[in-house]
Amino acid sequence: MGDNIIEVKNLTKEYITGDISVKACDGINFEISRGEFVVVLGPSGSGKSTVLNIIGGMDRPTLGEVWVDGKNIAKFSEKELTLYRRNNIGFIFQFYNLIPNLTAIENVELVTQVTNNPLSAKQVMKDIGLSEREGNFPAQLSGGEQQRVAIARAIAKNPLMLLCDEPTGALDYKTGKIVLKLLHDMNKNMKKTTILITHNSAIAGMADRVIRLRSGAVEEIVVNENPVPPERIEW
Amino acid sequence: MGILLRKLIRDVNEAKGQFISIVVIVLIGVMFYSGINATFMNLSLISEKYYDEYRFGDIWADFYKAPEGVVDRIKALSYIKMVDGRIVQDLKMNISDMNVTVRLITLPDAKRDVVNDVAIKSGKYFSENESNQCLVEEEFYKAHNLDRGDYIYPIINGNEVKLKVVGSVKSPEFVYVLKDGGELMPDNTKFGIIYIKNSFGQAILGFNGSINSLSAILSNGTNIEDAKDEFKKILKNYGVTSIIGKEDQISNRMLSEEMKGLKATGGTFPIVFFLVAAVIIYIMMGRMVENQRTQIGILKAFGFSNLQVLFHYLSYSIFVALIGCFLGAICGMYLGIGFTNLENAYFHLPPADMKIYPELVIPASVITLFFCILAGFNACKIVLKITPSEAMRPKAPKSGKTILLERIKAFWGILNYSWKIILRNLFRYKKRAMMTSIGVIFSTALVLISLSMLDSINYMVEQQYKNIQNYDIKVNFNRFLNMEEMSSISNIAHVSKLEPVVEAGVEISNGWRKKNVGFTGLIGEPEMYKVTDKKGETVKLPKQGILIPQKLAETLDVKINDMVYIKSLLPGKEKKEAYVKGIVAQYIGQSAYCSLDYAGMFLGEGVCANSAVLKLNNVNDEKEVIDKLKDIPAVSSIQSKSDSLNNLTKNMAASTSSMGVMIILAAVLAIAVMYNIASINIFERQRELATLKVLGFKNKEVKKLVFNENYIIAFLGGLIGLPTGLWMGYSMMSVSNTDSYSFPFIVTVKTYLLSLVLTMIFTAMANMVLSKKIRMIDMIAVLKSNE
Repeated sequence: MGDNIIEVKNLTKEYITGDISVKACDGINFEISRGEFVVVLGPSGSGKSTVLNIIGGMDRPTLGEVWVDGKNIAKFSEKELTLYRRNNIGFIFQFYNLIPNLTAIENVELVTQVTNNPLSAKQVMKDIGLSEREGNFPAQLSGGEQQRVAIARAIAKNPLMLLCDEPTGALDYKTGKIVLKLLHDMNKNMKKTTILITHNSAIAGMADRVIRLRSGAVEEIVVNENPVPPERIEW
Repeated sequence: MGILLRKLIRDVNEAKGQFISIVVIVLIGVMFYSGINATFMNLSLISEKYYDEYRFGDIWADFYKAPEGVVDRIKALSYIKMVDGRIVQDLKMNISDMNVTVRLITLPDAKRDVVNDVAIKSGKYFSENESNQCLVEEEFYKAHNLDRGDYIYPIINGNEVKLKVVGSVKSPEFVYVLKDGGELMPDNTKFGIIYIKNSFGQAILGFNGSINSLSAILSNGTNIEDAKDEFKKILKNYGVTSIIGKEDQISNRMLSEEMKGLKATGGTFPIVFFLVAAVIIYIMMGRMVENQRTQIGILKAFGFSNLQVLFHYLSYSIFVALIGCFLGAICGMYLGIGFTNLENAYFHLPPADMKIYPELVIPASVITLFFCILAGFNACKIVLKITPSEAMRPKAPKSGKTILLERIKAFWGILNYSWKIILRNLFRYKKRAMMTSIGVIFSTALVLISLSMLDSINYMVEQQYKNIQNYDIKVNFNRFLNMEEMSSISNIAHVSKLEPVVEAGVEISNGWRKKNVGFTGLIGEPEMYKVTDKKGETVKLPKQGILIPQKLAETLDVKINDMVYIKSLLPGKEKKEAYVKGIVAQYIGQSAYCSLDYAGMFLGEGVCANSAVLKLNNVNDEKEVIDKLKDIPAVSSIQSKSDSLNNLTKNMAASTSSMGVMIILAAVLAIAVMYNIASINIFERQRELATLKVLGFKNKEVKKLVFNENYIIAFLGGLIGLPTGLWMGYSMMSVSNTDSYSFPFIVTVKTYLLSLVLTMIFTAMANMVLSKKIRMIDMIAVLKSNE
């Protein structure tokens, strides 16, 4: 594969607390192509969150290499990681994590003020269809709306990739599907590489590539020739 | 309850920094409370014992000359327990290349108990050998490195008289060795007390069976005013210059004023710390209860009673109070001893019998517990209302709100996200911000007060020695000189100007209110010895009538144009009427001022003076001029301004160090409050701060969010702290002003600015400590969990 945006080689992460050591990841290898929609699937404790944290620059592996856009981020310093997160990563969390003291649009502007090449906050709010709610504070928005603002916040950075950690985990079925559709559209229209981790195997249907993890190791990697559009996914 | 206690200890352990910072504040409060009060008790105990042991007098009478027999007439009064007569005379003396003043006091030739006895510190009491033996007051003895067998030579009527030093002594009369009420600080090199044999004194001072001073101990319950009147009657024909009670005796007055100050400080100062501790506890416990809602719900669901849960949370504040008290009491004991020693460096009381007062811990603990429990209860009473079902449901999300400032579009528009977050956060937690401010306000106020001490002293020195006493040398004569004699003094080489001054002691009265004060006559438009008002403006002397200082006007309860009676303390003078023509400022001593002519008329001495102030061509000629003056027989004492200034500066070191301590305390206060409340802020916003970190905000940018909020609170609190300090300073000053000196309360612009700057520096220091807390926020742990 010539155009890999991510190459993970022998990724190992060991947590040591006191005398006990736990291997969250134990020699994981995979590649992701530019523009792909990837679903990382696995039960809790499979190491999927750890993989996402490391790719997202929030954590560093104990062993192994993580090549992102030609750079091994496993060797990055704390400061380099901060800048890496700032310019390359758009995060979307299960619990949205909007800044409670900023309105919807201000939450988006928050990131556009610090990145190199941002999109227009207003335009992104329009794209996600929340223009009329942009002056509201997070507490005045529904869960789905909050998650859509969080997606807008991630997109507005114009990042290298979007990382989504159980983005539908706190949402009901209907809203969850709206959010998935939005993520899917963003991926296809803006060609943003998207990595989504979940334990909900139904979502795997919409992915270009599915990476299945179990107990800190890769169980299988499936390339989906014909992904199903999110509207048709059921769970 | 055992398990709950364990939970409490773990809660404390989890937020050690916060716990420690509250304990420190309580500790300082208790430490000062017990330390200062112990000092007070030590000093009063020591001085009382000392007074008792060496028979400190209750009443003093000074007069020109009376036969020794007058003592028996006094002794005949029913309420006299003990009375002794003596000769007291101030003399000039040359020692260690200096011109100094010594006070010669006679003691019985052979040791017997007398009023105002001496405690032998080294050597022995007079023996039967040489008649010219003398005992020297210890501080003077030390200052001049005297030793037994040395000789000193006071000048009597122009002749040096040889005295042999046989020992050093202390006297309860001179715990604080001041020459007179016009002096602020003792100068042990320039003034000392020398005791000689009565027989020798009689002969050498030409008293021949007479005395000029007596002092008595009265039986308990004697009315001192009645005694004074009777003394006056008995001594009527001997030229009474002063009759004073214990409370007006200079040394005793300084000591009791110092103790009064201590008592006032010990009572008020620690309250500030208790109050601030209470505020922090209130905020902290309130948040703790709020953040542990679910746990409270669970405890209740499992059947813990309201009271048990309430007590569990309250015990946190009880914990703080007890630990703070315990440590504070221990530190206070050492502080008490340290303070007593420090104070005693001035007073030189016998250092024995220093006591530790464990009982002081009781009131301190009661106060502390009261503050802590009250604050804790108010914060925790919500526990009573929480029902288990409600508590275990997730909290409603924190709401953001627009603030009033946002209406000003032009202003809000230019703010970046970080200021928007800061301002909204500040307004959302108004109460917390205000509580933080209280700590900052007190801290700034403390800084302002301590810095203003320096301002006030500088102002006073500036006023006293540049504006009021703008002379280089002051000479006092032992009699009134005529104009001719005056001009002979102004003709001394290097003297560029001379202004004659009349100085006398008078009793000034308005009805039953009366006071012995100085009486100063100055030439028409004096340039070297001026009278000024509170603002430092020169006040013109009236042709008729007198000017009196503010404090005296209050004592006598008189206003401008009121009439008072003035009676010279010289023998045989009658009461005369005088009109008060103005109120003036006087920082050291108390005196009525008038023109030279008016003074002459009043004292019946014609146009002449018994004192003069001199200006020199060049201050470097001072020594030469002083040497010439010393040779003039009529000169009784010489004061040079440089000496007074040097002595004052030397003594200022003490104020500077106490200022330093106050500023350190202010720093501790500000940092502890900031640290504590900002810790809560960081804890409650860790999700928000972690989000920002994940979004790629640098540590510096995240810190700015919290720190700038602290700076805003510090700045606003500081601004309020300035007037608060001003107000506290004023009230402290008005309490501490005494008859002998009244400090102006001066705050310069520099002090205002410096107080604010220091407040900001303290905040920066707190921020530095908090830095780690922000750096340590674990992005992953915080973000992946639900609240």
